[in-house]
Amino acid sequence: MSYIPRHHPGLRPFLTRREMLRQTSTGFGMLALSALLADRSYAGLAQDGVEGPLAAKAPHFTPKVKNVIFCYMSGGLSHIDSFDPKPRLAAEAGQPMPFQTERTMFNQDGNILPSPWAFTQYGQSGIPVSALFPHIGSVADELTVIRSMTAPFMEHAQANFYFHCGMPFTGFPSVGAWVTYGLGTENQNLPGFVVLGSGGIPLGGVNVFGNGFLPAIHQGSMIYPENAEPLNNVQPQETDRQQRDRLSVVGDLDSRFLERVGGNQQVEAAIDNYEIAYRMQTAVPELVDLAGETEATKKLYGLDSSNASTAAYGRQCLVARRLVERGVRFVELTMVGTDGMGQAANPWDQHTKLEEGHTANAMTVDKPVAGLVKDLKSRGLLDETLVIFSGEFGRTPFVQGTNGRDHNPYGFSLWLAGGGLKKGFVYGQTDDYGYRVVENAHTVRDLHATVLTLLGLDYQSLTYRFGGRDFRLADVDGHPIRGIIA
Amino acid sequence: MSGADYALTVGHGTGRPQTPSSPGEFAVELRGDRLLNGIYPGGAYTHLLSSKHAGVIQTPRFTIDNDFVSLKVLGGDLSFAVLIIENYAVPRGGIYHLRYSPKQDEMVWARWDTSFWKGFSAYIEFATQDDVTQFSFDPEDRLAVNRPTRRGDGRSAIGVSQVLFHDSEQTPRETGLPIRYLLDGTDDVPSSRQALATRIGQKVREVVAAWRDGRLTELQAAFLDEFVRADLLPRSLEQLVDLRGPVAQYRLLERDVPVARRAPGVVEEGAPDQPLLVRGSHQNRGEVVPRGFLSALADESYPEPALVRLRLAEAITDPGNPLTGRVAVNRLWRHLFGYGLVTTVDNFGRLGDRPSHPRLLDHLAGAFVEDGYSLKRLVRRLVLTQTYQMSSQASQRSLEIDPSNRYLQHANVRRLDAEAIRDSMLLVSGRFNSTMYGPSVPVYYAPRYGLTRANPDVGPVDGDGRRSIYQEIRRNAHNPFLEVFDSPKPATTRGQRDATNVPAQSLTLLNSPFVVGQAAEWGSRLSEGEAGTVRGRVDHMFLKALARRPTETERVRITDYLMNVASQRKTSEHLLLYDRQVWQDVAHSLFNLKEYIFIQ
Repeated sequence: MSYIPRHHPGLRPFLTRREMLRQTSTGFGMLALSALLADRSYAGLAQDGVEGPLAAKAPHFTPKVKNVIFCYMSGGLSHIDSFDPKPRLAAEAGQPMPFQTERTMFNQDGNILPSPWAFTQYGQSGIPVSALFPHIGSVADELTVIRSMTAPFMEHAQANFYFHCGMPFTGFPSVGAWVTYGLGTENQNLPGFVVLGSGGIPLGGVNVFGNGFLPAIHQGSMIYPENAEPLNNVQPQETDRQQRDRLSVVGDLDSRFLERVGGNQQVEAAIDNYEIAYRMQTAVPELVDLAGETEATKKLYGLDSSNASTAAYGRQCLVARRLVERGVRFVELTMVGTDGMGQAANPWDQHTKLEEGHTANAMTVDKPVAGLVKDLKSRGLLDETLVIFSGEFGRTPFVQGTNGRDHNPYGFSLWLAGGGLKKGFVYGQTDDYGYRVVENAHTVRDLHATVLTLLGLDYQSLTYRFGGRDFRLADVDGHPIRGIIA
Repeated sequence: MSGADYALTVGHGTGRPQTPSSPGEFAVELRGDRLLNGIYPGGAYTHLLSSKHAGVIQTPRFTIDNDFVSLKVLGGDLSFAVLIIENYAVPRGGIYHLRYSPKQDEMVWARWDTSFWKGFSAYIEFATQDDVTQFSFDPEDRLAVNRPTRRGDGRSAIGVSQVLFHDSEQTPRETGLPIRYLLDGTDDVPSSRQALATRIGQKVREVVAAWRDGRLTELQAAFLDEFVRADLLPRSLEQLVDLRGPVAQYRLLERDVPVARRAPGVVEEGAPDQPLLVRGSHQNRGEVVPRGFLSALADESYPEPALVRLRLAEAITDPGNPLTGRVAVNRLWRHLFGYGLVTTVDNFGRLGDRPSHPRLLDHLAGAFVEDGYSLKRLVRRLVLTQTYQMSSQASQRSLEIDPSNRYLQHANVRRLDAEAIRDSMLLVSGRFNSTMYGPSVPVYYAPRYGLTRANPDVGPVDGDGRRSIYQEIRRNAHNPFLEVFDSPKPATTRGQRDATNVPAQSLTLLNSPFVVGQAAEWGSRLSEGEAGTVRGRVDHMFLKALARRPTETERVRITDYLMNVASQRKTSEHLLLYDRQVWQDVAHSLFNLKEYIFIQ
């Protein structure tokens, strides 16, 4: 951050933005009205006035997408039961693995367990998707499936931190934080990096959405679409009139203080924040109010589902679309547990009862995520949005105990959908058992470099100096996955 | 555990024996008619004098190359035997659950499956409850999932006699020991009941004599134990009339044995030199690096393992070492002036910034050391300077030649740190609780904020009125008020904080239950206190919140405001001074002034 005042008294314009606002409108009420008229207008204003750390910044080069929606399948979705069919597992069912395997989490390794789900080829691309995800199958032609992901960690908390921050422990910025650090946000009335919170927090805790060493402004803000107060402290504790009277007296006294400190930039920014905060009190409830959405749209996302988990995840997906419509850069969804409330940290973690657990979890996300892709496409937003669907690792082709699968970070699948990608495309390959990657191996850091690249950021020059080192999201060994970029 | 094996262990505590006991030891029961439960085999026991004694016994490090480790242990009250792999003592559950808590005063064999961990380095720790290298928990207490709990009376005991490394799946068992002893050293097998009874009688006398003379063998101890536990030899005070007096006296004396108070600290025992982990990977081990001071500054490794930490501490605080003084002084300078003389306060290395005033830094560092590292004197030295007392008005010339004010022509306008904002609200509102020390106050966070199954409890909104330094810091449930004002993530060193400016701060000051609560607190104290005049009260509030009186314009404006609030509430003029809501609103407005959180 620069400590140099942007304008000192000698160079100050006749009217600061604040003075202009005070003198040319009725102040806060006027601003609230304009909030309803044009949500994005404020970002431009903010740029003209004091440049906050979240002011929209130009990317390094022409971006393919503007926003990211990250559907995190916390716990570890089984790739061989979803997007990476392995007929060999059925042929060798019940036999021991033919080669030496790595240590597993629980050391209860059994013999080969074929997928209980049949695979169907969907669309023109013929991408095979298992019976777990018929709705996602129906948008197969929009997907880019990567079957060659690897992670160096097979324990949840480490793998969650790695998937979010590129490092296996707390203290480093989450990918969403890096994105707002690099690009700012287009809508100053909402946080730039939003985590939707009807699901559970992945193991490792809230710091997987943290800002690490970046300024705190970049950390993921939890918005709870179903809470009476969807964002911490966004609910006024008094009537609008009382609040405006307060803001008015505070504003008058503050403007005198601002004069006394010579138009100090920090103080002016703090004053300006009150206008934004005032508008957030309207913008956030408006964001999560789905009354204006048609019944058809709500159905598309599964909001009418009798399954409470599907409806809760559908609400997250729909709010995610509304967030990117409003210019929020990075939205992460939290996986809802099968109890419909979803405080479970890692719902996909089927060490036992694979069939039961994966069926219930797929039921939660299949229709909502497919609905999201369809809705984004029909509104022309898919081209400027990147949807990521992944867990922290995959699962073993051999059984754990009698009916589960252990963690497998040596080869797993994820899919992306959105702008700038080869659509209806499958990339990379695991061995015949889905155990290790044999072609186009990539790490999560490569995925991070890819996300930054699609957003128009140079993954090597987006750095932050901390502790004497210029840190990067993808560190020194992550590089974009060029093979999937159109 | 033989003397030679035991000599290789390390540990501490009053209960840790100097040498292992020979077969035949016992612990006297603390109450009731029974003198003792049984006779112990040879081994190491923490509770032979009193179970209030604490003890830790750690084996030497070994490489796991067997499928199983079995241990013969006794004890109780949440004492533990723990297999600590690669020095990592924290995990619990799953495949890491290599721990055993003995539950009785009789040796049992416990077995750990270590096949998964072959090739790793490990040691075994035997320890009483409060001394296990891991929080110990009361399994009955659901709320204590996250907290170490202590049994009220501090009792706990553990004893170990054998550790076996083996590949067979069978847990070792010992059967027929007394029979073996009966037949020991003779081919003469008793052939009648009469002969057997004679043999038993003869052996019992032999064993008791050996026990009395302190030359009991393991086999004899097992034989004796069997007879005692079966009550074939007397262990009841009703029978042992002669022992009633001494036992009563022991029990009386034992009651006065104090329980050790534990304080967190560093115990340096058996710490080995560690290999360099190449590029930070624990799987990529390089050469073993001998412990010593930073090799770039002093090429000296520390030979005696027991003194390594002490020597490092001495090197850091050596008056001849200029770095410590410079770093400390610079941090305090940052606190008072906004930025350090070296702006990278956490980094004085090659990648850090150079000092703006190197000679001043050294002068202050030298004075700091001479003052015996007194921070208080250093604060006084700095705040009495002309530089510190400068106004924040910049001269035109300064803005031209030093726009970032590195040379401090004027004071920097700075926002207060998160803790100071919170603490000052408590102080101003009158809610401030000056209690020092003691356990931290649990964090308040809005429902569902960072809430996990492991963190179910929510602390008081006002943090019990105590200073922020006494508020709990939880990695995954950071205090939201402090966090929004840039209190750093408790993950790493952060000498230079951010001072961001975000709408979430305004929302917090407008709507958070803490701020609204403190405004209400102040409002009610004022409305219930001495009445005086509106003017007097407004002046008093300004003085308290901003350390100055209002200007006439400000006084008029704030009075307008409060009159407006009063008229909306239909409060008559003579009741104005007693209307809590009016004064809460004024207080809340003052808390929202920029002047309240910025220092000119």
